[in-house]
Amino acid sequence: MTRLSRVIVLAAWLAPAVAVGVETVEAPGPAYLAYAGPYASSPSSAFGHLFLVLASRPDQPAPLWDVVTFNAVTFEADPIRYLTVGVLGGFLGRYSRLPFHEKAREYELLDDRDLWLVELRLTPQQRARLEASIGNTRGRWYPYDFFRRNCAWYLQEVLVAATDAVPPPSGFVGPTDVMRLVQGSVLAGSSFHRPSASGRVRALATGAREAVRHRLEREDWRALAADSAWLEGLTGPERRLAQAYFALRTLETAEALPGDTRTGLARLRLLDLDSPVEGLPPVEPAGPGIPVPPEGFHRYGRLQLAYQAAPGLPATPGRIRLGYRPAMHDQADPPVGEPGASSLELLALVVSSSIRSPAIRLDEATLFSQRALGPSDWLRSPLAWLLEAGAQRGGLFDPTALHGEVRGGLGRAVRLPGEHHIHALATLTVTGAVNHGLATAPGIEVGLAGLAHERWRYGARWERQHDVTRLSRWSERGSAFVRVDLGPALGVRLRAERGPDGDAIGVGFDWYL
Amino acid sequence: MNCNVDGAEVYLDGLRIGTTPFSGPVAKSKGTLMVQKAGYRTSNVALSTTIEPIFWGNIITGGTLGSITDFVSGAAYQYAPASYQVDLQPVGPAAAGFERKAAARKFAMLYLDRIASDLAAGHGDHLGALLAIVNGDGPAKVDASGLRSALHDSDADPVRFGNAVVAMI
Repeated sequence: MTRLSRVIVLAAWLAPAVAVGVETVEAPGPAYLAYAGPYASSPSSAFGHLFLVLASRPDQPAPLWDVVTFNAVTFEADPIRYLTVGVLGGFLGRYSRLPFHEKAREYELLDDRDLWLVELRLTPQQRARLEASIGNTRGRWYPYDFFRRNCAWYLQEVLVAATDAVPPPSGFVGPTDVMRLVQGSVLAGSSFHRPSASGRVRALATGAREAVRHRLEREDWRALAADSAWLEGLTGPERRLAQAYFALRTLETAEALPGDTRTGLARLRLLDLDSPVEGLPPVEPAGPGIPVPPEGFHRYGRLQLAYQAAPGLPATPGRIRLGYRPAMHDQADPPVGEPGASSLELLALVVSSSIRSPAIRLDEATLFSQRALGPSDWLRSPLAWLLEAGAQRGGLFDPTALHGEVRGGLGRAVRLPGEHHIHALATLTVTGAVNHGLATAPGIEVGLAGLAHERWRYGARWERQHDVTRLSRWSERGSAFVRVDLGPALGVRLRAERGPDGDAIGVGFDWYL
Repeated sequence: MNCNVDGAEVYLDGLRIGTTPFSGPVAKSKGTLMVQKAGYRTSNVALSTTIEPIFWGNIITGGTLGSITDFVSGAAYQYAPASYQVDLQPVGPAAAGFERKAAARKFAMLYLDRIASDLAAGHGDHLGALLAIVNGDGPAKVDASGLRSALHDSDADPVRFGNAVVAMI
């Protein structure tokens, strides 16, 4: 713990609570519970983030609504400390209140995350208790950890103080847990969705001419923004698309924009002003978003049970595979709005046993795995990457031995028409097995992830690596799966694998606990 | 770097590099900019070379605050690539109204695209929010036509539009 953290811990003990009396809030504006989708760049946000949105008056413009959020303060802890202290506890957090426009901008544009809001139908008394409960947190610091005492836990606590429609938090609490609790309670009103910046660009692109989309996708955006003749020829909806796209692309830019690009961006703003109103696209409301049916957020923990057979080897008995993943998501079960290609997993295990002679064997263990291959990459970041640490059966040294691996990869992910994403990465793996020592193995990985009709998910991956530090061995592994969602908590999965120890096909269930 | 006060001194990691409005090369490394002028509270600004999210290292868990934060008054922000706005708070009676002016400038500069679209249509949440900030709790002195003129007169340049909005308060 840093010296500053110690001071804050002391201050947390000493700081008096600011008592706020419960008063009836006269004609308050609407209140929402908001969920920001997972954020691949921060493990603490891998579950998403939860916050309250409160309007103080019915006629208050949406950008000026308040956001009440709980955040940990980590003081630029180094990665190791960030992870260990975050998991084990030791950081402190606090409630804060800030304008909705700042939070929405941060999530939708800077982080490129989707937001969902569910209206809270609070009586004036409940609303007053909520405000009083939030007021009582002023000046206080609270213990924080990733899995229990997090944003969701503390948001649930202020809701509990306002209404008995939600039970007190206990055990592991994630943002979607609280969303599901509220959605299933008498508090739940209408639901809304606010797309991420790249999602908004994709939606706006559907109303643009093919030639306009083509130029935006293929040409240097700075030059395009400086092309006044091209800008003048855009329709109203296309101007809206160009503005949203340019705003997103400026985030990649560290250098000051060229003068003619700045002039073009300014001209784009004035074109609407000089156009007849009837030619303009409808004004986009600032909040709360697009009305949608309530989302079926599923839990984070997942149990997989599957039967696996070895085709071509009828004498080989089938195996029962049991997998448990306590948290995070993989390609087959992204939370709502999360691209199917990206994944983030922590502490997952897969064991199996022959059905003829039962004996449990560890097949896979994931200590940590993050694969940033998402579809927003086609707009914002040209690089896709992965970082994984764990163990799996079969590898460079032995087709059946358990190999420990630390693996990194860098390459490109490309979004194809429809919900399809392909990626190709150059990888570097440090691998080892008991009695075999270590080897360094460069390799490649290519893959595909897809989604059809909302509930059919499929993917394929092939990887090959060569040992360059020992004898020239190589190892190859491929897999493909199709999964259909039977509901928010259940899916059926068909999977085929080709690994160092042979081929296997399997069918089984995914159950979210 | 634009500032609400011309001639304020700009220091990078303790080394004086110029005065506001400042334009010049700055080393691509994290550092702290200090902007100061007599009669105003000094503003310290944490700089980063990028506003891309930082893997493992968000200062505030649950999301970044962007690449630039003013840990004195919060009135410093990046509004375009390599372009920063810092509002120095006057000391003493001159500080009256500073927060509203700084908030109006920030909103006007960061949401210029949306405000321009709303002005073209004659209504919208961002236009309503800017008018609410500019007019405060008192009688409405500024209306949409005033902002429309300001947008035209400033050629939709964020800095000039921000200055025009603040001048209306």
